[in-house]
Amino acid sequence: MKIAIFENEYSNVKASFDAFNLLNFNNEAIIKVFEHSQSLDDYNTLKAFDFILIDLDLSSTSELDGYKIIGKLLEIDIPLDKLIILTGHVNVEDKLKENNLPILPILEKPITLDELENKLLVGN
Amino acid sequence: MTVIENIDIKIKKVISVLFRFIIVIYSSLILWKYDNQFDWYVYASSIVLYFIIFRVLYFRFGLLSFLRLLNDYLFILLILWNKPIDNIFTLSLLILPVINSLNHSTSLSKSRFSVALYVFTIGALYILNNFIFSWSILIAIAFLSLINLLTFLRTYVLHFASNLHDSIDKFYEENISVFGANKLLKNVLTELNKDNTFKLLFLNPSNIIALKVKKNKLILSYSAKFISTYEIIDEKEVIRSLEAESYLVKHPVIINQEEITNTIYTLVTDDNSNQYVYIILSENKLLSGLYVRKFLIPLFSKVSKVIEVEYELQRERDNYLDNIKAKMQVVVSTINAVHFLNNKFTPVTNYFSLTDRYEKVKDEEVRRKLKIIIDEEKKQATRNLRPVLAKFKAIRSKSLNPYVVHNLYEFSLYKVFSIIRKFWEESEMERNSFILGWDVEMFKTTIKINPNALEYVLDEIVENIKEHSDASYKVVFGEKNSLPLIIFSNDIRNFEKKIKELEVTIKHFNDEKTNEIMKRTSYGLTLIKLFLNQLHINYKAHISEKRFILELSFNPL
Repeated sequence: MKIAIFENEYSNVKASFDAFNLLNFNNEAIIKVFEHSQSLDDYNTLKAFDFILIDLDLSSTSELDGYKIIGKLLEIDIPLDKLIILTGHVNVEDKLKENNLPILPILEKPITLDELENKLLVGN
Repeated sequence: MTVIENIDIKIKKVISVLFRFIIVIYSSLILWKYDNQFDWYVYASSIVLYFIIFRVLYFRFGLLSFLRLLNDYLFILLILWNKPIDNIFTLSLLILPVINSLNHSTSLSKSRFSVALYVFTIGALYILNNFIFSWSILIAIAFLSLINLLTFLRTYVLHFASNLHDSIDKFYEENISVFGANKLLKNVLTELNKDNTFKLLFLNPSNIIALKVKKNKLILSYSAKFISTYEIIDEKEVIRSLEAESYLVKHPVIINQEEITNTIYTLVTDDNSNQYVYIILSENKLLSGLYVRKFLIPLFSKVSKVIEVEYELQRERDNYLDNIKAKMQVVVSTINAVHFLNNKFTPVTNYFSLTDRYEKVKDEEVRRKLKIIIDEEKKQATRNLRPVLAKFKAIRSKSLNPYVVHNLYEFSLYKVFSIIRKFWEESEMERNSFILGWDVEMFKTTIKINPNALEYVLDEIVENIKEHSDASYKVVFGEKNSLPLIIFSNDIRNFEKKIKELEVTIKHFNDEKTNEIMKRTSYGLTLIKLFLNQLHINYKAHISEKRFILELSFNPL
């Protein structure tokens, strides 16, 4: 399994992903973390990933916020079911509508291993 | 009509009736004392006829009031016909109307000096004196009229002053809402121009301008008629000279780009040492100084009090605005704090979740590896607890969401312009930074706006200019495709250093949606945007010739 994560504070969620990888994929899943929107030159490379998790805020040094990144991913035709929002905010649905984006599954912070498995494994 | 005028009219009505009774009673005494020309029933029926005609003409004005006077004199002529008029007993009947002249009601509200009265009196005298003028009686009447004239002048001036001061009562009757003292000056202006009886003495100004003295500068508070631009030459000197003399004439003022020299300046100081300069745009006339000191300064003192109350309210409102601003920051930081906590809590919740799972794992090797992850997470959770506790303290205060503009009101661009100008000057920004390109038609355009929200936007703009500019700024009131447009522009301090950061900010600002990143980096601009969106004011920022330009365009109704 290949997972891409846009998250500027990965240290807070790292253990969940490590445990997820260990328990479900014997540490063989590839987890790639991008701190900024500009940490990635070619967004097309993300097409090879099974899931892309996007934190909506990101740091002020990021050129694009999470909404803009989602917009960019949709532009290059990344399937909707690969996208998951990672956020601590509420009312994200309204914000998505405001930004003319489709409603996406949301993984609410603080995340736990169970929730991570629920979102990434169930139905897979 | 003023309260005093109302009372005066009622008294006049009663006196008018009583006066006719006095004439009839006095006439009866004359008829009783002297031999009479006609039979008793002629006199009796004339008394009845006299009252009937009086009743018909009772309290009528203009020409009918002359007929009433004629009725009086015809009756008097009939009574005195063929009787000697060289004694005070008979002569008094003839001059009773002269003595009563100030009660005469030729018009509704004013006492007038009636020439017709003297014509009738002298005419009747001439007829009764066998068509010969009696000079001694004429001289007596002339002196009586002189005394009447003085009394007339006194009541005239009283009425005039009462009307002027009543324009302030009228303002309160008509305006329950505050921030409309321009209407008060308008009422005063109308009242001053109402009467032309003493054209040579009284002022008939074309406009009255009230300016607040603030740190040796004159700031426009209100004007009776709208003015777009103004400039007072040697402000400091004007204030100094008015402080010494309280009166200054023919000092030029430039209004709407036109120099006006027919001016009278005066200064009013209230009990709290607040000073207001009033400029009366009027020719200087004979006794203007007396007129201004005796009539206008007491009146303007009252006007200043109204304006001062408005300033007081404005200050309250500014405090409220500051308060709201502080609350806004609390809201924003609270939202950020919640987000922060969510992040920081992740290792804590995850630690427990992983510990639970650990119990269920059978494979020793997996257990060993998971134990390493759990131990690491435990450390991370412990590390995170300290900032979590610190943040908890910070989010204890709660607040309302103050971003919402509840109501929009219909205003002309006159009002919008006035709000901006007033705000500009109150913020001690340069007055000559205004460039006015709006014509009268444009000023009449109406838009929907919330003045408080607009002031909030202005507050942020002014703060930005003060923070980032080297004091070269401008506000242009122009148009684009016949739609009103306001352009704020300012130079940028440390341009080379800041340009990159600013370009990013401008890009975010012009973006239709409020960007999450912008919320954190440009708090002021984010709020400007929030308000402009709700006010339906279109906005665009850009950099041109090393200047920051912010364009606001309005959608007329």
